[in-house]
Amino acid sequence: LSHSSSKAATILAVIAAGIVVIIVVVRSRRIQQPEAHAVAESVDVPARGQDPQAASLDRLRLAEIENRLTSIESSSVPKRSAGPAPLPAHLPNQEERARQISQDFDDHQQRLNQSATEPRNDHWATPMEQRINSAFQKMPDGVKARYSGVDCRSTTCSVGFVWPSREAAEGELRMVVGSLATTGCMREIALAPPDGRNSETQGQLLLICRGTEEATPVPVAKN
Amino acid sequence: MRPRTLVFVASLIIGAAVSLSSVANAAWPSGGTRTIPGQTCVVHPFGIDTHGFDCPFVSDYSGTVDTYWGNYNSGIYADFHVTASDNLSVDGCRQSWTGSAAVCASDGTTFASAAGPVDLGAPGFSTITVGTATQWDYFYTYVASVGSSTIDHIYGVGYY
Repeated sequence: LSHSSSKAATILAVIAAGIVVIIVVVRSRRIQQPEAHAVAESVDVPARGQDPQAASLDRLRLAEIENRLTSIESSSVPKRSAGPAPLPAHLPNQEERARQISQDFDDHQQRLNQSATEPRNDHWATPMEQRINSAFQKMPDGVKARYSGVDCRSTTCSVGFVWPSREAAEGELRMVVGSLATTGCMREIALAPPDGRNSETQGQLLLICRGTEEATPVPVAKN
Repeated sequence: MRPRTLVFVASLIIGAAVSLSSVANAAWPSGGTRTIPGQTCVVHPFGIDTHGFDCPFVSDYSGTVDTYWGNYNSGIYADFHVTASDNLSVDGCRQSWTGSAAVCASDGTTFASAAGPVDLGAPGFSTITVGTATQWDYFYTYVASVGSSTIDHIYGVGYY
């Protein structure tokens, strides 16, 4: 009896080891799947549902992604090599930092000025302004930014914020840029060169919705 | 070793293997997790999104060291978990090395039809078409949900 039990236990152990090997192989194949599969998987997500509307949205999004990929491929944006980026020649000094801040701010101001000259399309601008107003009407505790208003035109909006100090502004810059992500618009902000006194700092967040179908605001269920 | 002990050990091995294989994170493309090791995504407390996550990004290697420089040829890949069906978006973002300027471009959207893991691929940082990139800039991704769902876990953000 003991001999047959021992034999059975050995068989069980062999089967267990086999299962472990199979699982490890399957998992490693999942991790090492090709890039194309990763893209396909990302657009497969909506198709998991049974909702035909979701499936339709899926097709639209697939078409959108294809269009974007095509436009990116044909764009004139300078592309870096796929390999490691070159090491910087040196760390930037204070003078280069000041020059870069000025350049970023001047470029941003130029785009804000272009936005200001854009004719207003009430059909688009009014709901956008209402949506942005309601989002920033009450700032959560701990946020130092104060909302100072919004001005939308036909494809762009300028959203104003004021911080008690330069330090506070720099600390919340990424938060402000991220805060309007689901508009689908490009968002940009650049602070004016520092005055050296860490005083009250203003910033204008520019929303650029031109050329994007997301210019129509996505309905939001705000908590 | 006694037969019962052998059976017990075999059961343990099977159990461990099954639980290992059923981890909820979805398939990850080659390249591995590329959020900054030791740092997680930071939730942002306000805005029009129900939940927004700022995820620091390691976009290139310099020798053997992680760097923050952007790789314009790469697509962004986010892998996370939501608690309910929702519209979701991922942005490619760039912050100037000066800390005084930042820009984000909508990079991809998807609809999660139910609670569960979500994979969201997007073209990458080349969708940012304003401003001038320098080699010292910081690149990051911003993952947001529109409706009532919570992004309760981000497995990782990277490029492929």
